Amino acid sequence: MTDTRKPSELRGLVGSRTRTLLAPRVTGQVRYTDDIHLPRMLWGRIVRSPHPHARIVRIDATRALAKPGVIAVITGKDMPERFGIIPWTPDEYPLALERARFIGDAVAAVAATDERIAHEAAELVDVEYEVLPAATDLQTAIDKPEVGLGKGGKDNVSKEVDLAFGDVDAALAESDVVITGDYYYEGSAHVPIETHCAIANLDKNGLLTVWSTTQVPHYLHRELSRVLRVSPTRIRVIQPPVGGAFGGKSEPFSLEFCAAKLAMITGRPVKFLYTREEEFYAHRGRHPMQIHMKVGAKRDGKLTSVDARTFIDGGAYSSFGLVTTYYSGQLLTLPAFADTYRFRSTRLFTNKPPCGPKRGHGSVQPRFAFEVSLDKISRALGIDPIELRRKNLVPPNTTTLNGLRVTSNGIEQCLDAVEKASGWKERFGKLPKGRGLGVATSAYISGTNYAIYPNAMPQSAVQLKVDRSGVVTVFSGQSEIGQGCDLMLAVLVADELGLDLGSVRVVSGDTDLTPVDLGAYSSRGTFMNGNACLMAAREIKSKLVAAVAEKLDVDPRSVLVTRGALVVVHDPSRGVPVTEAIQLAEAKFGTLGAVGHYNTPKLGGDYRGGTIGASPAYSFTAHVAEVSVDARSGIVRVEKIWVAHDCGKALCPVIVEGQMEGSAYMGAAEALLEEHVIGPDGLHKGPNLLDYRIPTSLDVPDLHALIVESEDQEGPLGAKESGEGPLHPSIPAIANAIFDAASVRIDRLPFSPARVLAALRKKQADEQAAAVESSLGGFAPRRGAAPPNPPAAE
Amino acid sequence: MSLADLPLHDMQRAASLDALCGIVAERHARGEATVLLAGGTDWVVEQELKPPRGDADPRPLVVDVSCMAELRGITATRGLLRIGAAATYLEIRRHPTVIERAPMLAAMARELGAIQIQARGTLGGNLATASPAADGVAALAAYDASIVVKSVRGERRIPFSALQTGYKQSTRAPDEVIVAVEIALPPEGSPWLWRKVGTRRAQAISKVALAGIAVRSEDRVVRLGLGMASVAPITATLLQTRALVLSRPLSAITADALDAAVLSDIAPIDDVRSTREYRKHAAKAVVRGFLRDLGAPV
Amino acid sequence: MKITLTLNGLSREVDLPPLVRLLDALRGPLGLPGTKEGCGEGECGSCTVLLDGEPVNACLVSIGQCEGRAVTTVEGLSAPHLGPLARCFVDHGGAQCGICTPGMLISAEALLARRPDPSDEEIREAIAGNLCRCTGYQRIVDSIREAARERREAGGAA
Repeated sequence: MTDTRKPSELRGLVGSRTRTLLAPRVTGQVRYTDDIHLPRMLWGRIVRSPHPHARIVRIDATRALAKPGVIAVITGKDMPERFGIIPWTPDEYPLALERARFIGDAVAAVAATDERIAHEAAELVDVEYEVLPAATDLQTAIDKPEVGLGKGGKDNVSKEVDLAFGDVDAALAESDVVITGDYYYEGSAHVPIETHCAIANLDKNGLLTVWSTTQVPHYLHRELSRVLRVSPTRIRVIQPPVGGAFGGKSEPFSLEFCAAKLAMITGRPVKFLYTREEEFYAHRGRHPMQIHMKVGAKRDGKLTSVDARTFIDGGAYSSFGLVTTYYSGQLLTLPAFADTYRFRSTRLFTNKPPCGPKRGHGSVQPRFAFEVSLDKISRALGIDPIELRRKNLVPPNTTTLNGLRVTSNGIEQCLDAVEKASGWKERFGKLPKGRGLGVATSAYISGTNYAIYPNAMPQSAVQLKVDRSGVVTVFSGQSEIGQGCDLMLAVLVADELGLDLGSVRVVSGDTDLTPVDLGAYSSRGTFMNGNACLMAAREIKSKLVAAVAEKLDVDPRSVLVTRGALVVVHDPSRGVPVTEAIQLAEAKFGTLGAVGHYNTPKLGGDYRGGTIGASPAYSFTAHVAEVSVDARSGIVRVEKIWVAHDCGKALCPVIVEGQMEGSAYMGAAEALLEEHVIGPDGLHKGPNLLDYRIPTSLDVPDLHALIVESEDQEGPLGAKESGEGPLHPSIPAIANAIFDAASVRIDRLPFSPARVLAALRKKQADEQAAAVESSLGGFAPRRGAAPPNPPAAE
Repeated sequence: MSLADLPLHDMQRAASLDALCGIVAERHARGEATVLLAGGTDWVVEQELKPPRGDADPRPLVVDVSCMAELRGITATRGLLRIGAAATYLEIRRHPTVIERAPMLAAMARELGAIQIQARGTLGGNLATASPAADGVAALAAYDASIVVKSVRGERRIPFSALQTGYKQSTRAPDEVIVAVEIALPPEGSPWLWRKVGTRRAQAISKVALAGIAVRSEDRVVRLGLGMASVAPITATLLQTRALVLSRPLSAITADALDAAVLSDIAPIDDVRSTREYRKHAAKAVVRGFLRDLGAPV
Repeated sequence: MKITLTLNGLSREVDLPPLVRLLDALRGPLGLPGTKEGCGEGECGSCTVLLDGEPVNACLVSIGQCEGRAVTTVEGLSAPHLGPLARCFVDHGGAQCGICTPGMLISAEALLARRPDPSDEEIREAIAGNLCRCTGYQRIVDSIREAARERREAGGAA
């Protein structure tokens, strides 16, 4: 049943009552992983490779072990078991066994009595390397298969996907306009302010407890068991509140295995805390992608075809790369698309920190290329870019050409909202020189339809414990990483049972206490965990209703749950306070508790890879960005971003808006500032927060979040995701706004001052040349209108 | 917990400036290093980034000068502004005399780092570290400031023009303590410019930063100070550019001549923060901007 | 080395090597883990505390330099009840993951102590040394603006 209440009503429910749940965050009382100290705890430190690609000849820990305070040193041989988040591509060892594949790759680990001694001891571990040829950029990885980073060592290929839907060549041939472009999407990092941290302890009963900053406790639990060869019944993973993750903590890392192994060896608790520099080596950030894309359209603006060839820079390991390679094409077919589509993507290994899933996994890069292509088409055809999108929208309740089942779809309302809020009709194309507006759209999954390892069990589950005092505790395997899933659960339970938010406790992220949930990734939390929670809450609700109906001697169907009480529909003066209802129900049914779960319906296209991109619901987003471009310095400033997002239903509007704004900000940061500078030697030139520049409060635009609610039939109270989708349009909206402001196309990220300046100068030179040509009567050869694409990074 | 060797260092405070000079001199004579620690915004970070070396090495003695009265304070007498070497940038940007009589210095301090860095960073520290990217030093170059240094041999003043000899090298002797900087204040209302082209709008190292101060008489600039950060191995004082501007009426300065002078004054490099080419462009653009403000047709 | 300082209004003494970072002293022996470490290089501002009323990065300050000085941490801002600043951060979504929040609150406190009615630009400048990766800052600015208003209406009391 669809919940038809307006967001204002839910807002009323949340209101100031969130304070009881969120107070620890604003008083320094949240205990993150690094805040945990155990008696006799040792500190661990990882020894890292100084070479981008090298065979490990010999490791000698004699000098390190001789140092007072050093308790143990381990190497790859202590854990010779491959792992990987995708079960089909396990290619990592906790510590490299034979080969180090990037500067920063883990090769050994030490445990010592304090952090400084561990750090010092790591410098004393002597590793002999045989340096091997390396590929530190995409082109080298393509050109030099002999580097042999791929499976079997024959080439550097990590994954290849080649999919076609309809006759692309014919459709392009029949198009009135075909836009061809080469786009380069720079890699970027998650940069959570909390770096990775893990603590392990083996107690006297043989239970290994691992506290970790992970966002996937369940997968970590499984991999720890496999790699350490310890029964999962003897492992407990606890995920304390996480200080930011954004996808960067969604697979097991060296530190968790090393902490556990060293705890098992030493019999003492062991803690690892990555430094900011190590965070850049752990990485798993956004994949750089080189995209060659053709988009065709008819004169009336109807899109005919999209044809993309993409090379993906994967870094040293597979990580989620198999999925990334599919995502580089699969999610493009919404919200506005063509009738035919082909994409071929190749992920290559390079000798750099491994890339992985960053907020908007794999789909942010092609989205940039596609939405800029649409802008170019709108210019070529003289159609307003918002209108162009409207002409090509995929409707609600349909299936896309690559087999994605679409249910609720609020993209039209999103476009209306940003068009109105930005004053688009009055201002687009009419702002003074140096100022411009740009639009872009996107769609995103509310969770992936399939678990990472094939199984028929639920993706998500909760247990509810109902106490006769009136407190309800939610036990959830979801991971609170700052996105607010604990609060979301509390809102659902409070709303369903008529409780005050202060009477709902949430216990999450602990494999001993909470039922399995697959974790905080692919924007699955609200949809899947929310549905699981509703199922359990509704079971409790039915018992409360039954007990109250019996007490008041009325038909259960006439009992209504309101805030604080269960009342008779037609006579609200007759009612029972919730706490009393709980006690009546406990007396009637025995101890109250319930479980709820969620599993996805069978979805996805009937072809290899057709399940990737399948989701029970899609969110939709539209952005309008307003920028200023300073012609003298090449500096682009994003002044404002209006972001309209169809989240289905805003269960906690303040949190939904926060997710929308945080996404828009993170996209704008990738567009303008963020960049890994890695030399041909494979060395990261700025693994710190001074030179890897995330924006300060002075660098970000004013952000205007506009919630759109499409009331999804299958979402909890109609809700869908809001944490990742709203990032996608930021980058193309800004690129398109730069064109409106300065008539230059910057098809390569980031839009740095040097790159923008070079483009402006090239345009000026071209215009002068054109003026000369026209004065010559048009006999001079025509100059290419290719977008400027200077190779050197600024 | 800090990974660095920091906790292994010894630290003390000195009773007076003379006592401090004595400590530095004695240790120097024995071949031992002394670090005068104020805000730690450079030195502490540097230590954190060094691989730890444990107990083996001789370490410098650290003397905390952050609270030493003789190195603090900001005073102005008879047109001379004196800023203690350990006065913080936050104190500088909030000081009424600085705001009124040396607004360029206040503007520079306001854009330096973020407030947490301004509350700790000092001109003395910037001078001691001697990074060519230091904004504070570029401002001192434009003011043609004097650096007051003291040792057991006495006090002396080093004119800015005689201070820097090479990348992180200066004419200050190893046993000389930086006490203060002195700025001969330009006439009230003199045109000035602080223009930082940073990597972002706060917490940024300058790609290029220009400090400028001018005294104008009708169509001529009669006194000109310029300092530029991040374009050469030392803070650039742009002597060719200064000479060009002083040599002719503002109306006779051409953009081409100005650009050529600027390029001859700088030697920027590519690094993680910017490129040589962009730095050249930005350097020319910011100097042109200042001269345009002064009335030159550039 | 014995160091005496005033910590959140109370006199405290610690015996530590003088160049131990104030951050480590706070989180360890002084028992105040609310101050967070995000980079250890003075860039992120997560460890911001007040030193004699001014915001500083506790990772760059040595405990020995705190002799005789007053240090305020996030734990010193809100006890025993949520002040308007902390409350506004909750109500307006100024805290998501919360790891930057202690430092952010300290910088905001330092601003409001000097400027009871700051402009948005002044708020942004005051927190420019505190990196947040979750919010995009909009809601933090909203929270501080609203807290300033509440404090003015309450007559300037914290």
